[in-house]
Amino acid sequence: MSAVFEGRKAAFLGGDRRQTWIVEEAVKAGFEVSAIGCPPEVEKFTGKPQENSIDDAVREADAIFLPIPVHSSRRDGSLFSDYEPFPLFLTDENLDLAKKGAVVLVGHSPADLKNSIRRLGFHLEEFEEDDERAILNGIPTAEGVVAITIENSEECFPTMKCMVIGFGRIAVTLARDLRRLGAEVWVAARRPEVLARVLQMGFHPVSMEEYLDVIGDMDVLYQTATAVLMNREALTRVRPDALVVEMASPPGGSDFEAAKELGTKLIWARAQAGTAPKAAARWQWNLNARLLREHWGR
Amino acid sequence: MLSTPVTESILAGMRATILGGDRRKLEIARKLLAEGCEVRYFGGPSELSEIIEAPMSASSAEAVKGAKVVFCPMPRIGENGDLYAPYSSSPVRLDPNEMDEMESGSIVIMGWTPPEMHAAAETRGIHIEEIGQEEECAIFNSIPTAEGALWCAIEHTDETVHNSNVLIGGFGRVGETTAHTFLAMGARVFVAARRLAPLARAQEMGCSVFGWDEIDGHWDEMQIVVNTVPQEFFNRVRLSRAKSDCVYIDLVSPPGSADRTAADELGMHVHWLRGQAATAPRFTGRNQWNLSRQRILAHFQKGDIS
Repeated sequence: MSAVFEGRKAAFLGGDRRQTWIVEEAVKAGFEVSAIGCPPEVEKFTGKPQENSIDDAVREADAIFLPIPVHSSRRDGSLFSDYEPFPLFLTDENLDLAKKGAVVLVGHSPADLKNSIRRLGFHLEEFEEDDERAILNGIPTAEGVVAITIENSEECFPTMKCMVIGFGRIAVTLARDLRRLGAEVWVAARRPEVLARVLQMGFHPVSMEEYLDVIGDMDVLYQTATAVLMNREALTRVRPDALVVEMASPPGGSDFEAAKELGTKLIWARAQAGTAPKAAARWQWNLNARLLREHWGR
Repeated sequence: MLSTPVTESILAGMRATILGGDRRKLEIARKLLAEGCEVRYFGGPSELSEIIEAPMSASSAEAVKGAKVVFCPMPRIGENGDLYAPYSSSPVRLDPNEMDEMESGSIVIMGWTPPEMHAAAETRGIHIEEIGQEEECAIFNSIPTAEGALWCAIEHTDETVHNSNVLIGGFGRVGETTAHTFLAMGARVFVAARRLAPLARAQEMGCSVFGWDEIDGHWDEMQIVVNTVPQEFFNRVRLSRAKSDCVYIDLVSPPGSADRTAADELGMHVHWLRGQAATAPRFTGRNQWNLSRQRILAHFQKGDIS
């Protein structure tokens, strides 16, 4: 129990399996939780059935936990939920039922939601870009990509040549996993100080001037950069039996059309952090709890 | 710059045949072509036709006609005498009939050979080279097996493998490679084995170790359990203490190491992984080739060419 959260009300709207473990932690910390569109298991922890409307879930809430991603892939503006009783549309009128100055926790907030929250005088905590979260989520993401590689490559790691394009928070973890599993790893990046770090860590650094020349030697290529670096020219150099794994979020950094035309085996590994929902939930709760404590002042 | 002198392989111009098998044979075909062999096949994956730029032979007998080198599949021959041929709609065999078509002094490479086949080959002056029980082969095959176990663990755990407690039963060739693989991913690896020397090696690698009779005492602390020892391991007692959020993996070849009746009754799933070497066909094919090539060269260098 935490004195900061005790007696406060939290609303959980939509989401996936991760919500079960986050709700469990929230209840343990002292929150009274109302949920809608969450996995049925949350009722074990909230001690009551889920609500019948967003209004009932949000009413008098001190904190509103929105799903990740916020919106459903139907693109109709409804909230993302693997367990929706009906499409969940969150309006300003719904939100207005929460307590004055309530905190809205969201991974990444679309502009219109940001505007609504500001208009209503609520406090927005957007945490997708949080460094700690990105580094930790890199662990299951890299594991998911390792699993995809095992499943789809003709090679095993000890004889594999891999290139990681980009060297951000997730790429660092992936490159290290690959090397520890026995692969020989090249890392392509733009900035000289990044390439210096690549070299220091024992990978082969590849500059943007060189990367096209190295592609043809690789068994697996991992595209993590936001620029389109696996363009048509790059794809024509990929070995016919090689594997390309695109890891950037939409729209991605590969020319998917060219890959299809060229017959390149290209897999878009999205939302791989979902391979470890329990760990991801624990980290998300830790982060959310820290943000709330900072906002409400211990 | 020095260039490697091009010397013609003694295999150049020889007819080589691939019978049955799976995609591991693609790499064998590429390597045979690189040696200058004339390659034929029957009952293998159709991609072989693209590699050798010729259609499949009409039968096993036609494929082996005039062959000096024949590659049979690595898995054991079926009880009815059929070769392992998952890509073939008709049975693939190497019986005395087919052997009659082969050149005398030729060599057959395969995993394991039944005694009657040995006898039939011997009377025809055909040498059979069994490579299935080679230590080298077993170590190479342990790599895709361990990677298969890692894949299974990542797919089925709700946690990360990183920081998970992983128990590995046994520290033979598969056990050791599996331990390396999970250590690489940042897991806490525990190894249970009987003999002290393997346990010392496991400890040296960075694993925690305990004796075979201490497994039950540590059972509840584990999130991922992988067994490599061919005896009942996932028994009723352990399965009744199994947790739904743990992953149990059996790497033992048939009959496996799990009490499947008990597992079904208790509603617990033990993932049984078999034939993993086929999942990394280029890797395994290349290793098979390297080993086979030595044997083939040794065979022909003995002066057996007729």
